[in-house]
Amino acid sequence: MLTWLQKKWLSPKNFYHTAGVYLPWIGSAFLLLFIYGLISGLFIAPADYQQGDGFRIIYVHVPSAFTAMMIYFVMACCAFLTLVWRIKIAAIAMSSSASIGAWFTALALITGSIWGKPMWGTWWIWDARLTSVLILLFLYLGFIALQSVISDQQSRDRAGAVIALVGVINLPIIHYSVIWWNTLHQGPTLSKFAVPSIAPSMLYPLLAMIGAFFLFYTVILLMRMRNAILLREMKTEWVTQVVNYES
Amino acid sequence: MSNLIIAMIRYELLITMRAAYSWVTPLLFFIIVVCLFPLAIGPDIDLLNKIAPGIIWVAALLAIVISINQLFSQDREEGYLDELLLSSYPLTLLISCKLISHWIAHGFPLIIISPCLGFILNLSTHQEYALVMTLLIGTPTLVLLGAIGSALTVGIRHHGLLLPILIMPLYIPVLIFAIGAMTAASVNQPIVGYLAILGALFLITLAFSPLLTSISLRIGVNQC
Amino acid sequence: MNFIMHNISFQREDRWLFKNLNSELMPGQCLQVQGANGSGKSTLLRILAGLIELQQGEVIRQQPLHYIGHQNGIKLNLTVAENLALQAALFNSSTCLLPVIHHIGLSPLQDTVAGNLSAGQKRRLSFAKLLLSKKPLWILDEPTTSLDKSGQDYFIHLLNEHLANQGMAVIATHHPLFIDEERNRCLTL
Repeated sequence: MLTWLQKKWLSPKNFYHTAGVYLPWIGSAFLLLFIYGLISGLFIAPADYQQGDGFRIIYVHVPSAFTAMMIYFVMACCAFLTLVWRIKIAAIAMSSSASIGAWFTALALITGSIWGKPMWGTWWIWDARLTSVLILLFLYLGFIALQSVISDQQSRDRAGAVIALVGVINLPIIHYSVIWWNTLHQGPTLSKFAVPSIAPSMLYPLLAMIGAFFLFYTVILLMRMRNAILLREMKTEWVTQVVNYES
Repeated sequence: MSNLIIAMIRYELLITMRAAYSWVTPLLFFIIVVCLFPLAIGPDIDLLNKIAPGIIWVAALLAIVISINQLFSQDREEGYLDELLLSSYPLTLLISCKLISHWIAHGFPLIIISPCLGFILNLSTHQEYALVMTLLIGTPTLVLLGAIGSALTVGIRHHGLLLPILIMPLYIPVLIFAIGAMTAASVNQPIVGYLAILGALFLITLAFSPLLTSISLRIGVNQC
Repeated sequence: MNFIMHNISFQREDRWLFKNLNSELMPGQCLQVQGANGSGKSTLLRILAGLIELQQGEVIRQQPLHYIGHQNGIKLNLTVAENLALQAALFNSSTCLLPVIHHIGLSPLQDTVAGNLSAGQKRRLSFAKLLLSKKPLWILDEPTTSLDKSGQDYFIHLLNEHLANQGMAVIATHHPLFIDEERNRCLTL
């Protein structure tokens, strides 16, 4: 099993080629799920009895929030692998995921805002979830800032790994303290995001969209990682061959 | 080993006392920031009383973030950091000694001066007590978290405000529970529960911070 | 208990500083590392001391070591005596401090804050730890910079004594140090 991993995924050169093979398949799977999710979510699912058609933004907001959180956990796992076992691919995955995660977090915040205006009459509200997502955005941006300042590649990977791990250890603490803070200062009662019982006709498109967003992240991540590998291994022979072949 | 601990704390404090500006300026910063708010918001004493816990705690947090910047930078310039890394004593022990003396030099003055600032913002006695207790338990946690950021940025020249950006999101739980304690104190509710949570946060941070700081220091020094 | 470096190569931002360096030191020998400015002497010494991680190659180092870099490793806000006391605590050394201060020639200045010393005096102060705690391996980066003639002679005397006691040293210098031929090894970057 380990040798299979090593052969296909762990060395930069093998990763580049293996990812290139799987990329079209993952991309197609993403497109299928995305189209299904979009069409059934936007057109086929019935309008919510309480929020009307406005609730449909859930099909972008919830998947982006989930993906943003999941990307941070992926980054944290890669950070652990980088620090403990010095796996280069893990470091590349971690660095490449950061800006994708930041964008998804921003998307979650913006769609949350857009949803908020018709629902609560205000563009922003300091509820527990939005505040947690805002803090998550700061964690991402801090990571990107730290990596951009360090010039030495190996130190950049390891420093980023440390800050990602520190962030992930603190993330549950921050999340629960923000929830607690929010119950303390309970303002107007909010409409529920995750309705306890959601109709299947609304649920399946949502799950499809969540899956589609995950696959989209995977596609973009693999593409970014391939780029990063080419840049890092610039001086080696196999990269020169690849670049010559593709140009 | 106890010789080492006493010697390190003693000499770190001696150095701080000799370079008095290093601990006086964050303290002055703390005082000035707190005094800016009444100027910005107006002299309405009831309003100030309501937001006083937030003002004082955010100002204390900022003062700590500023002071933590200098934790390892002087040592690095003097080449003393190499001594610590090459010592036969565990790096976590040496870092802990440094952090203890840093807290005594920078956290303690804040705690001493805070009742006066509470006084000018019209805090009740119970709130003053809550303020001092939350600062007492909260500032060590802030110093411990800040140390990790300081160690990561030790090799970077001109990192500017990178350290505050990295560290301040991590300060949020401490801030939330400290303010919770003070809000409870303002309505004469018991604050023991909040102090217990702050204590738990301190213990969790104490468990992982020296180790992560030592890892970060080695990474930071590796950049030469 | 030899000190061996084997195939050391180091790359910084796509530029190889040095490739495939090999050397072996036996007790009583001194390795002088020479090279132009920017050739990577300081980086090599830091790698040998363990402050920078090896990229390629291997260093077999079983001995505790002293490292003195370009900076002196002294706290500028402490006096000479206090600096020595702090170093003694760091090395768990029970050596008496006054003789050491006298040995390095800073007795009249023992209560002067280190920041007020001249560059040469600070260098002498950095040698104090070599006397406080006898470690078999010394890794020194241009130890004679800013030293006057008597300072340089003093350092050579310290070094010869150390080598005579079966110690080892790796020293980066601009000009070769004059020590016994049989004890001397050279490495040029």
